[in-house]
Amino acid sequence: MPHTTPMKDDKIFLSHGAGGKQSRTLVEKIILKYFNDPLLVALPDSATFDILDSRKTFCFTTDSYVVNPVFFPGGDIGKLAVCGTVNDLAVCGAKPLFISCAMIIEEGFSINDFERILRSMATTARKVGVRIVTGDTKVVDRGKCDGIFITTSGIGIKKNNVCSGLSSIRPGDAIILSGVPGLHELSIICAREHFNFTVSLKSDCAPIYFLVEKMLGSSARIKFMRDPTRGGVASVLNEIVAGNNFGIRIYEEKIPLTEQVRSLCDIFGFEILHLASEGRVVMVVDKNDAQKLLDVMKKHPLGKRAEIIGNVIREFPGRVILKTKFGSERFVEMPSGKQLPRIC
Amino acid sequence: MTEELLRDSVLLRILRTNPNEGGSMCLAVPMKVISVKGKKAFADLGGVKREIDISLVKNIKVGDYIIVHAGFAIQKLNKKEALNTLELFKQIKNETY
Amino acid sequence: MKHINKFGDADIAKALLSRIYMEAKSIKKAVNLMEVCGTHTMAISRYGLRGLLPENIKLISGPGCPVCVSPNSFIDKAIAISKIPGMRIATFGDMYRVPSAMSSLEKEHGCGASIDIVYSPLDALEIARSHSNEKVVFLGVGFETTAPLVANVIKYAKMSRINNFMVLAGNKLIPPAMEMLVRGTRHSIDGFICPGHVSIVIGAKPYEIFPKNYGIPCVISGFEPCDILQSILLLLEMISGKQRNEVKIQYSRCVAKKGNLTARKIMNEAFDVVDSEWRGIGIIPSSGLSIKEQFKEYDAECVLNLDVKISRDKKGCLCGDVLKGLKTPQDCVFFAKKCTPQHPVGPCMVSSEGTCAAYYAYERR
Repeated sequence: MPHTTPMKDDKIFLSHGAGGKQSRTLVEKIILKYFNDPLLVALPDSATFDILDSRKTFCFTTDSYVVNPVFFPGGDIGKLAVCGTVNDLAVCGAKPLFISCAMIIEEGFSINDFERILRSMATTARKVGVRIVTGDTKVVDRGKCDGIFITTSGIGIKKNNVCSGLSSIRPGDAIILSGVPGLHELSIICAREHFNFTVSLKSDCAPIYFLVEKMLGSSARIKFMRDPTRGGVASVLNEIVAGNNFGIRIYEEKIPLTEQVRSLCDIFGFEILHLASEGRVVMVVDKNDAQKLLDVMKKHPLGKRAEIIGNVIREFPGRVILKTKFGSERFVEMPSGKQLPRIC
Repeated sequence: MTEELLRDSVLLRILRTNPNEGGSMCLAVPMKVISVKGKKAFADLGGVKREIDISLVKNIKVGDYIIVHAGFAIQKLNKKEALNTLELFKQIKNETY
Repeated sequence: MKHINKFGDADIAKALLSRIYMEAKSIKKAVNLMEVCGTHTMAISRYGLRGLLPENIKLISGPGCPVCVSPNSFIDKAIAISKIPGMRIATFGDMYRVPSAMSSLEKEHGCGASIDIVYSPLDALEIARSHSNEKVVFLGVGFETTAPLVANVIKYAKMSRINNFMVLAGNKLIPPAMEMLVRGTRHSIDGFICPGHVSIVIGAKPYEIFPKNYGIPCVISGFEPCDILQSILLLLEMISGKQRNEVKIQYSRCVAKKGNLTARKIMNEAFDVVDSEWRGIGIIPSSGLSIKEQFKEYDAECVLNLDVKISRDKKGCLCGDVLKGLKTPQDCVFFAKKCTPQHPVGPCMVSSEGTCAAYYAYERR
């Protein structure tokens, strides 16, 4: 390829983002090693493709990722950037097709680390069957961004008429959680500086598309679905009931946990329902289909610890109530106060 | 008393709650001592491990349960008393039902 | 490993409640029990215990939230320190968002101040070790559970000749605050649920003045649902006259009558007892700790010239009365309206042991 030189640098420099020879080298020698989709390799300004059946419905989403640290147990910013966007499409019932990847990199960022992130994005995208077809790279002065920031936008094609919607929710409907909550946020906390505890816990960062596909293929009447990221399960549940004439009761005993999660919550006083996941789903499903759906989910690796954690109730409209293991009841509020910054 | 029952008898709040960021000052938890070296011990709570300063408590041995607050052991769990309390609870339950 | 929580067992709890109901019925009159410690307040709200008790038994929250009772001037001093170039603040998480009338550490962090949240004062010392070009000031907040730890870290700093570490001393003592509450005739406290972890250090003796001089029974309680219920039952049995009025230790698996002598010795090596200002309450004699002369080079107040303006709490904020057990959060006009965890007016809404935070999270109807 003309106008490129061999990639000798082990660090990103401002010139890599300037649009000249070095920019091209970075893209062709490093980025295209991992992102080599035919729609991308010719490096046009935008990826162009025919839509064969224009009566299809498309879903389009975008998200930015500024997680700190960029590498954490169970994942990295790249995996997160793909999973987060793909999951937003999945919970709308869309099969993820294409994503874009825009990166802002701080001068001085290690090329090795950059390659690790790209490799991780490419691997994750391949697993899900989503194509990274366009992108952008900018480099800023040292100190003007922290390491690397990534924005991914995704397009998917709506495959199913999932989710009859909030208006179809009725008292008696079951609430299902696909697995142990909060692992992502806990893994970030554990990976932060000055956290002098040894844990073996990993982020739950994962693409949930195939799990959701199985769920939607089960013919269970799913009324609502959302992935509990920032704000955790408590946020999603409160969003479901807000302004509506029903409430939700969940059972402490039913929430799937692990020993380490319990211990960390004990030591630090965390409310597990407020902690972010990046590979979980919360659903409202018709009570008659709940067990059937649960059986389908448990057969999938990401749904092994799925549980019916509660149900929609007539009482306490607009509120979420938790029945403790001990027998008493208390409210579950939206998390308020400081949320840990830069967890996704 | 089996290891399990002793550990469980000390319980650890499940879903310990803090509506704001973690870092409560009265929060002290029981951890099991895995190793001891001078004024430090390595202790475990359900797979979460940390080096703990044991200079405030005498005679800590491997296998002891220590009450840990902000990186220090402040007391050793009294196994006999833990059993006594559980026994008393059992009595109250039996007398009531 | 299966988690069998006998201390949170629902059947045992029911049995204890049934005995509580029997005692409450025989007592007949209204009984007010104060849970002194903020962690007990949180546990009571989190387990929904308030609503389970008989009508005539009320639990009132006390001043055992160290962050809530740290005066505005303490926070303002911390903020002033954070503005000095080359200074780093290390603090427990709770202090980070507490507002003084001027600002908060969180706001200052947003403006560029170097502030680290730590789990242990040992971590603060580590930060000093690894940031030799900066001076690290640890905010010493907490009661007798934390004071020996801070004392120990000051001693380590001296032994290791770490000269870029200081403490802003703010530790306080609980029993003097408890006594202040019952000295006047305005109080309605019939019994104290005493803090479990403070008592690990101080033992049972400091509470003996309450049954002796004031006729108020005390029970040192654990934090599980059955611990708290059993403590309530023990208090009611003393109030009804069935048992002698004294200090009982319910949390005997952790609390020894003598407390932890080693911890107290170390605390006394580094600290002097002084009069101390409690936010919302005022000066309580002999209720605070200041760093001893021989460790003055680790005392941020001595080393740094901290001249702070006195800032007052917002008019209408009822934190003071809530801390004294005279009002509940719902009595405050700001509660859940102008004052929320995201935009707190006073410290009780922000601290993990704050009464208003507990009510906001679990008891808002």
